[in-house]
Amino acid sequence: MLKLRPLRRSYVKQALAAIAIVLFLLAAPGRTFASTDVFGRSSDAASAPASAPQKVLPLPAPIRRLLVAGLQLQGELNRHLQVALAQQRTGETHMVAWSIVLFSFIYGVLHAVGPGHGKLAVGAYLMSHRARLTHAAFLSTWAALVQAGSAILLVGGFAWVFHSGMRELMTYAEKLDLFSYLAMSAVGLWTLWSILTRRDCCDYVAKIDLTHGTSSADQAETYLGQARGMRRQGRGAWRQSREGSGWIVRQMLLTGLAVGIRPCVGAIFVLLAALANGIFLTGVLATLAMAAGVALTVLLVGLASVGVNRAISRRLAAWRRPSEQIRRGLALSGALFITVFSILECLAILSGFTATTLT
Amino acid sequence: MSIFRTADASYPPALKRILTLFLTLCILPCARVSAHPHVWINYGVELEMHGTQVDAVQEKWVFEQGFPVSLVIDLTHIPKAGPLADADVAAFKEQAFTSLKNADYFTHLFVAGQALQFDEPQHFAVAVENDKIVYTFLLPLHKPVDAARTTLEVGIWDDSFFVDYEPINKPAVRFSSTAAASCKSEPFQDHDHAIFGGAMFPFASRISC
Repeated sequence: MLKLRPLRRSYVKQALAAIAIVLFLLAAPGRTFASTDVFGRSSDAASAPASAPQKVLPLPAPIRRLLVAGLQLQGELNRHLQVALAQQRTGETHMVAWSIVLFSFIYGVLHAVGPGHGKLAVGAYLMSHRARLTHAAFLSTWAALVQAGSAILLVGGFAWVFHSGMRELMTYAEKLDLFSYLAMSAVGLWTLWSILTRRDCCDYVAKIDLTHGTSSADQAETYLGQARGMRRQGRGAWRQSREGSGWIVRQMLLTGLAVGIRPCVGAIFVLLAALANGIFLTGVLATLAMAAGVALTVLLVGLASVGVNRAISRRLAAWRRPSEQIRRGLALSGALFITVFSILECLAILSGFTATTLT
Repeated sequence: MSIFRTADASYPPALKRILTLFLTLCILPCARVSAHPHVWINYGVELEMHGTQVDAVQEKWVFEQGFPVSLVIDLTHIPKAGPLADADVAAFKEQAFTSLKNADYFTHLFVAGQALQFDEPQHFAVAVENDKIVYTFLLPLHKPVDAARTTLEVGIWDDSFFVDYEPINKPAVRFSSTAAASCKSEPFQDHDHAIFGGAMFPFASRISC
């Protein structure tokens, strides 16, 4: 069972420092970003020559049909949502407010069915760690909440703090795409370092090595005190015994923060519509409902990933690999995948090979 | 709640199938697409023709409610109905139209599989109709093409699917009054130009005279 202990001051400081760095980088001149329009397209694109259409291999028909059905439903929900937001402005009943929440929730569920880097990171993390089902629920909920918070802060900030109009909002939202990848790279590197140095990894089960000692006194000391046995298994095991499951919660907090920094354009647009109708708080409620829907879908990805982890672990265990070795190997490969993926994305964006994208 | 206490939970077969489908949907094509769309547009297309020769594409885009107008102009500038002021049209053109040049304004016209080029758009206008923002503009072909000699395929779509286009009318493509009476438009699903990372086939129209 996941135990969420009260957050330590150091975690709060780390989170505040991370937010401060992001805000500083957003405000810093540095790399010149082209402005981004309401179609998610950069002003750079206007001056570039028209690109030739690229051939894309179609996805299998059943997957395509499912996606299309979901997309059509999203369009319908968006229409109902906008009508409900307009009705709410004119002082309709509470039923309208609840319908906004319901439409937003279903929209969130469907919208998250499409692929995205967040689900990739969450899936890779849970697939590579021996996480519990509650960990999957926690990570998906936390990442969705951060994403909702990011959209609320961005739109609210533009509306009331910057007083600079909304024109640059999409540009800032797109900037956060790069920061999300930078943060994911940093979290990935930190996770790698933690695993390699055996600081935080893999909930080792402390083995009670009854055969190690030669005398019965040795055996009794090891068995009853356990401390000696744990010391023999290295620093990781000792830290684990001291901190419980704190390491995985810490990693998930940072992973969710890195993944969720980039806001969803769907949430931004709903907040803008709510702001235009003078009902920003209803927009905030709708965004949170949307986040709950997103979390539900991402949770399914998480559960699937936990299942894959179990299946791989069982297969490797059948080959008589030590469980600690299996877990470290999986955790390393997951952290390596997230790190390499994020660094490549950062390099591609910074070199101009690909543009930042809005999702 | 016992399920949440079990680290070694083994899923029932039905749940396994659902979860596998989700993994396939959400992770495998991840590198190819993102969660879209965000803008919904209903479009109308009229081919400007002289006889069987196609000279330009006249387009009308009707944005669904929820299009974030406040990202472009101050909402107090929006009239209840009718055309926007010139300054606001200019703002729309600069901030929510010109960047589409690289994407040929999402307009696709093929002759024998080859994409045709367009000149600069003309007569760009923005108005409010039935509480919705409406764009109208004319997209001249760089080289006019004779629909009697070859079959044209025309459609409007965004490859990235950030914008979802649906035709207002059926047939989606109509002809100007100066077009030959023999010209006809036949809608079809364009399997040669899959969009959204291969997740969708856009709708297009085959024009012949």
